[in-house]
Amino acid sequence: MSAATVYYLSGLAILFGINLIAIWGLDLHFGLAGINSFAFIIFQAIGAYVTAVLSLAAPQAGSFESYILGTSWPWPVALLCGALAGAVLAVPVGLIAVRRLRGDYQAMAMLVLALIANSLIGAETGWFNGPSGVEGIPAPFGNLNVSLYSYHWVFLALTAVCCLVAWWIARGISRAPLGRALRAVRDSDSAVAALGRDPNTLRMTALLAGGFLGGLSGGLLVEYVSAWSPASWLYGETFLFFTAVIVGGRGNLAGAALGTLIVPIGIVEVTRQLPQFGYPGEFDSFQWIAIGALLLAFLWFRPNGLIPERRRIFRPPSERPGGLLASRPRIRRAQSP
Amino acid sequence: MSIILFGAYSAALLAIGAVGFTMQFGVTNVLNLAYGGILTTSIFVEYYVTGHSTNLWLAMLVGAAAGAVVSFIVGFVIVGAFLRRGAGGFSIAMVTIGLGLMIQFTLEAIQGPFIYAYTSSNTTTAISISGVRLSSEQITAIGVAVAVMVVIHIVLRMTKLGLWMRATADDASLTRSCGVSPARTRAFAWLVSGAMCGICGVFLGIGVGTFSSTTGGDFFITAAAAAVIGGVGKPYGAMIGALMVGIVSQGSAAIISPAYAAISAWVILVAVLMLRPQGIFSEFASERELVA
Amino acid sequence: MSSAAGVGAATALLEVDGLVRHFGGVQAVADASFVVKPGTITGLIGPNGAGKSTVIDMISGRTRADRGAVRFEGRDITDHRAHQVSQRGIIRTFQTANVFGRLTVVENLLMGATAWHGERLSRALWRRSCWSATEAELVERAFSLLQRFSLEKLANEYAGSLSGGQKRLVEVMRALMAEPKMLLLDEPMAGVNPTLALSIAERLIELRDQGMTMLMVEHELRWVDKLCDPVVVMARGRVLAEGSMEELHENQQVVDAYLGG
Repeated sequence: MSAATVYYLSGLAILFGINLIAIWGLDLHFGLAGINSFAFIIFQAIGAYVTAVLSLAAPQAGSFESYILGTSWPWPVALLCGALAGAVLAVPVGLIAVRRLRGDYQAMAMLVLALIANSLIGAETGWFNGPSGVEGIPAPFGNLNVSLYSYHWVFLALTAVCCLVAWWIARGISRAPLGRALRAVRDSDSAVAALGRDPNTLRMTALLAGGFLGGLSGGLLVEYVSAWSPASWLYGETFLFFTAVIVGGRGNLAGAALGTLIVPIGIVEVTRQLPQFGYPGEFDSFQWIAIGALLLAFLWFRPNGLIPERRRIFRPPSERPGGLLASRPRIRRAQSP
Repeated sequence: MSIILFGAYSAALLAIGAVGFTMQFGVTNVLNLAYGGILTTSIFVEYYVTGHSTNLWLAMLVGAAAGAVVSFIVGFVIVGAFLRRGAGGFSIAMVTIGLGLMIQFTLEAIQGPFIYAYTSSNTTTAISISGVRLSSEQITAIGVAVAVMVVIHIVLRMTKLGLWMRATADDASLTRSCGVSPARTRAFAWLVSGAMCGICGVFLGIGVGTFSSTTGGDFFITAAAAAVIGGVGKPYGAMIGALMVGIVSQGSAAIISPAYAAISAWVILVAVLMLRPQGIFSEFASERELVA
Repeated sequence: MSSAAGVGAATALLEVDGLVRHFGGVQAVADASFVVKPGTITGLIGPNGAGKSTVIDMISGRTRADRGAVRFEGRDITDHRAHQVSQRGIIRTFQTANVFGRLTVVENLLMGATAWHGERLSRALWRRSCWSATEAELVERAFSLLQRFSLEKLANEYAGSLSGGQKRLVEVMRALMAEPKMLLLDEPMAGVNPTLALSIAERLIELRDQGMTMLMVEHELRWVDKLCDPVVVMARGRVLAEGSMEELHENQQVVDAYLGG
């Protein structure tokens, strides 16, 4: 394998990891808690912007860039702050998302929220440098004296660590009673309230966790590509993530991973390697048409996705060989709900 | 003054679009987020069929026809099929968003992401009121909007089909048990809303002078804001909503900056959905509009 | 007509006092006042539109009362929201069986239990040992309940795939997992086949004999006869009378308004 191919593949792996974190976050919102989080891209966006303006130095006087902060903090701090920004953003978004609104109304409200955010940041150039966006974000471990090819491996390791963190969070929530409570909120608010829990608080918890993951993904992404502008996060990107979750299978980590492999990586990145035709960008249009068609096909034929949510089986005490651990549910991939 | 006049013009455009959108929602209970795509399609079709000319009446006819056809396919055929399978609110929203994106990118694939311009020929005859100039298309738009409102009013109040549509909007199962074919009523709703979408699109394209594959989508959200304020499913509410949104957005454009015209309308939409999803003019929340 | 605030008010578990509720132009409840004494299955009956479900909704916090008060164990819970009311120990069931369709039966029951500290985000991520012990206990309790109600075969089925009557049973079991002080049952026999309904009735009697208090809205008078004493009759948004079924049969107003014959 040539060095270029390896470089390409490691780059794909990095993008896979970054997308995976975001899609796990969306799965927390949508798959686990049933929130139609159609503005999810703004979590990734705020993570990217915050990480960027914290890593960059303040804009020079007389330059034609302008953005807030610019504190030149070290990249791990900036990355963490980006993730936290995603969690913080969950609070105002929660004001809209946490109410039990009709499914399609909620989708529209969130979609418009993403549009507003995008237009606003484009219009208010003082915040994040408007339509041109921010650039020149210093790369993590940038001062290591390694070759371009080797740097990819370094970044890939960083991505892997972040993925592990994301996995720990998402899996932890899913397996705990919290996960069960979130899945219950999906089905019936009134029944959850009749059992002593506030469904709004539960949904807000899911939003916070998912927002954190979205922000982490954004921070990592901006440190990889070194630039970020409103064009990077149009509302259609959320649609991309949703397609991944629906195709791969919602409500479980493996399904989300498979969806990430198929949609953002498979359809978008891998097909970039095919010969381009037509005018520049025509190919991208076909990608989007394909994604839309794929989503419709799955919504029609297999709405539960390729890897449906697993049923959690419990065994009665008499059948178990005893011990605390034996009460853990066996996860069986039986028929989906 | 210019705010009022341009407000009236943009309200006229919004009214045509919003009433089409809301009427179709009222009858079919489907939030059609592909409406923007239908808008853009009508502009494109009209542009190519009428050969860049700006004969308004021909353009309106072609646009209405194109809009009606696409709306029928999207709504009655595709969404209808999903509904018959028992798909829920959010899935339908995903379907319409997906269709909207597919339409947008199909148009872009065919023609490229360029911006198209009408060879302008009609900005000569214009009317000047207190020093504000409105082109004849814009005046015609306002006139057409009013005419369309009147026609809708007549259809809804005085024809049998209009009665069926209002009844289906109120209570579909009851209407069915009265022997009215819900399928036919729905089909008609999709066709009519598509036609209105088409007319709106034509004025949008000609009025602004340029358009691209995203024109419909952006405008649609603003029209949706008008529809939601008035209460989705209430055509008269949409007309008032259009007036309010038109004035507010023109006002924001003048006071803050042009970009804020759209943003302010969108903020209104989100605010209404959050605080009073049944619209400003309803007395209290009805089941179908609020509860998930 | 007996008044609610008279004899027995001091020992009442739940007091409903002058509740009023409008919906738009319609007055659903004009003035509802009655008490529920501990250890009873108190019935709430009346013709359609009498306001019974609205009263239940106001007690359980699902709807806000326009006027009036609800007191439980002496504490005012009128303005409590639904989850706050249930935290006080009043657990309700719903007219249409409100199970979590995409959770299994066991998971539904586990949701009933009030060991909520496992549901905090921090506990989900670390200190797992903290809740896994409680979880094991809860699973045991769930299975013993399932055995008592003879549903252990369906333990790992999705609740959404059960019949109407079975869903109702799951709802009741789930409510019991919460170890309630009082059960609010909204037409528990609705949509349940007679054999299963009999089985539910027998369980409810068992529970009462063990000291559980219940307020039950029910339409089918044979169940009211069998289970409820005392019974509160509502009509047109007001309480018409209270008493045992024999007393009510003798009350002309009640017979005219509802019992007939």
